Amino acid sequence: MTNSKRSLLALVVVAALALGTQIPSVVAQQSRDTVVFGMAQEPDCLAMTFCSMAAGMAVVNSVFADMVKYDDKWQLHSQTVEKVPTLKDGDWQLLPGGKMKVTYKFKKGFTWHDGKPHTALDASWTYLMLRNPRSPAITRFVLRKIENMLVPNPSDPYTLVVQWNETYPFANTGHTVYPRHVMERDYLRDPAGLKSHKQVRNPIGSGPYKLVEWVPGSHITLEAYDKFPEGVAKIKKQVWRFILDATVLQANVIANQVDATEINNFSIDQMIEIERRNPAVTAHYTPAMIWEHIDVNVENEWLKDKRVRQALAHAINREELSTKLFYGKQPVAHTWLPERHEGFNPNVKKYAHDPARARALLAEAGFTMGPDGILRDSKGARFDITIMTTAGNAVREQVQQIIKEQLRAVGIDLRIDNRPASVLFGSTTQRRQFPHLVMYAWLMSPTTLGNTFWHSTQVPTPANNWEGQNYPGFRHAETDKLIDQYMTEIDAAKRVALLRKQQEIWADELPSIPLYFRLHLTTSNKKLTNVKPTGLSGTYINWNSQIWQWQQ
Amino acid sequence: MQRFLARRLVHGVIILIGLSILMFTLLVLTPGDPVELMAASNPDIRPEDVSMLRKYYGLDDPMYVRYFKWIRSVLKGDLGYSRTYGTPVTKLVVDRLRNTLTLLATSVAVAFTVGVTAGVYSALHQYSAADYVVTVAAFAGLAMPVFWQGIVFILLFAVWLPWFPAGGMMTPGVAPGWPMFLDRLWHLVLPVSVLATSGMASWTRYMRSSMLEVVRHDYVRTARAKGNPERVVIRRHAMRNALIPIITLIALSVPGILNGAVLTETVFSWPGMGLLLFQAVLGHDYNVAMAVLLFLALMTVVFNLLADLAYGLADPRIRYD
Repeated sequence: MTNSKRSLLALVVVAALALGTQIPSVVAQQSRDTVVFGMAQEPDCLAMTFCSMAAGMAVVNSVFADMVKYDDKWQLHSQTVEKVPTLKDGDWQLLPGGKMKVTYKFKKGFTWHDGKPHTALDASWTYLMLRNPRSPAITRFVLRKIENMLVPNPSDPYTLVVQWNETYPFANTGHTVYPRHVMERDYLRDPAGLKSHKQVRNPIGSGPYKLVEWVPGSHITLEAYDKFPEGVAKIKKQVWRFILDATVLQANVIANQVDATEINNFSIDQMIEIERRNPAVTAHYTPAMIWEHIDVNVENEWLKDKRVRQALAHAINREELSTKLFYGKQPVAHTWLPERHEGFNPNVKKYAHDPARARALLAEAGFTMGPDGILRDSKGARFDITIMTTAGNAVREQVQQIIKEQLRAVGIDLRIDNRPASVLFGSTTQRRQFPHLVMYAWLMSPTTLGNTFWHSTQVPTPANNWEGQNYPGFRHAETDKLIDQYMTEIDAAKRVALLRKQQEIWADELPSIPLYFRLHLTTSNKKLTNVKPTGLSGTYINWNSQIWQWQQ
Repeated sequence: MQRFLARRLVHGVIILIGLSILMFTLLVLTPGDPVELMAASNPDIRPEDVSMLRKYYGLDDPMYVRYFKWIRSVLKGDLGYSRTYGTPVTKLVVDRLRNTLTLLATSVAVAFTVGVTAGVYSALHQYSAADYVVTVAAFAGLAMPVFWQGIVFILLFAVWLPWFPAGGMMTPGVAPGWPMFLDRLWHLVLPVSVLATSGMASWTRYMRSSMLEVVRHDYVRTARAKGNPERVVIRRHAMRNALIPIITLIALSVPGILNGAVLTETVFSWPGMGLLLFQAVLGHDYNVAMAVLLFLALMTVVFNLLADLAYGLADPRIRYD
């Protein structure tokens, strides 16, 4: 062997040894001052009034401090303001004419990540900016209810008064705040141009972590903000890695290459597999506010009869769906509100799996059995109906197959006609282009009261420019009255009573067949302490990440 | 030669324009648009907000107007603006191109080295046990879909045997210099292994048959008869000639490997053009998707032209009249 060949061989051996030893040690050194999050999406931006991806909201949880936020018990607590306003304390006042006034006192210690103070002036400016129709806010649902947001005393930039032009029961949940000093000049030049402002992708926040870098397609790195008044985060860095395929993300969790996951698209099977394969990982199955259901087109000639809708509910074995597909972890739904919502009514009418009862109800509704085992209506038409859902969603497609068999057992022929998610939500539901049934989920929050789902004014039609989400086409005078009442009811106890009554009517009328409540599925390394997933969309696993710590 | 080149370049431009129209049409006809995606994820969004956003993104214009707007800006060297990333597409593509080229070049180099070596060895030991092993491995390599192989490699070498990372291009925060270089190398191993497999397999097969053909020629026999050592006969006379068709084949294979990178990058979260295309199509980020697709089409046209030119250079019997 010549000298040059020996040198080459030596180099290869050294490189191989270095690969085998040095790299893992680099990773090991890092892991104790860093938390690596994995998620199956890359955010579209980090200014959550200008874009809407959940991935962005999750990162923003660490970068921005909120005026008021929910904790894992779904209780409101104050962050940048001194307290959550209440009617009892008088900082939330009801005024004549259905108007309201809510006063917030900002804390003095909060600063933006560039060191400038975070005050009520930022909040009132943000309101003016977002209210401008030329600014690129993607929704102004709550803003429209607000008359003005003021800092009444120029010498006190820490007091914010929010004047509401209508009664809104969640008026004390805080508002979006952007740094005025960073955005105002560009806003004045071109409000629409804020869509591409540096604040959108490289935000200056006021939360426990500040953004250090965003490597598109790879990761976002955050670093603990050393002037965070609630205490500097115990873990120095957060790295948010984008791993778009859920199977690959699962492999990363099993291989300990990510420490926590959020927005992960994991199925329950995958979570169970993670638990089995990596005992160092906690799989969190957190009850959430995701309601999986089947909307029924109540304007259909057969389905407008509530006995037929009730028969569908009796024919579908929802307990079996929950047990066999979800290992009993995802609870059967009997109403449209989940158990953790303040207005949940446990005493609504329930529909146990009872094919005999289903057949009896269908007979009452005028259906008779045909020679092929499928019911006929009074005109002799075969009872075949169509169900739609998101094509490619394996779980929903499995559920459809099971339901098809179960409905067949009572004499209903179910046809499956699925659409891509973009089509289903883009036009099929919004324009009510489903002839009979459509299966999907609603994501709700503690402030969801279902007015856009169940009020008769919210049935999308060409006349109202397809506004509203009452896709079943449910029209019920008493329900409308109850919704109108509870939407402006400030007293939580009275609001809950009204909501419960609405659910009783709803469960009898059944404009939708409730299936089950989905869980919020996240994972975290067992050595990470204080991890408390909330199950709320918008308040993600990292909501309290400044107090996370690596157990030694 | 010059006329041939000019004719092929004109053909190339026509093909690219045709492809761009086809790709643009397909993308626009894909169900849904960016605003519908936003609306779907936001229950509070109102129809007037949707209309405003559609106007903002120019989605109300007829398809041909949108195409002409796009092609006009492309001809000015502006690939547009990425809705998802909020940056000019040109900048985005240049950043990602570097990563894809790293993956591609390493994969081609590995596939070439292993493929040629295995092919030559197999030919020189025809019908031996080693020949059968190489042949079976090559067929297995050709038969394995990239996506499936990627998942299997992750399970084998990142989960069961935790030797390599299950994805990504770097360990965030790794120190620059030597540790960063090694870290990149470490992250390259699995995606390169997957991406190189099909090229490696087909080049092994081609090299084997090319070599078998060449070693039977008179000039090889003559070289042996002149008393040259076997190593010299194989390297200087046989292998050099056997490589000529392979070089052409490599030029033709590069677009295929590049297309394979779309899947490999998705599986391994490698932030290159493939992953960018996947995200752009999912997010209806038309400008980005068009830029990547156009790049893939351009590479196919260019490498086909290079293959044709390589034929002529390698084989003096071919003339470009």
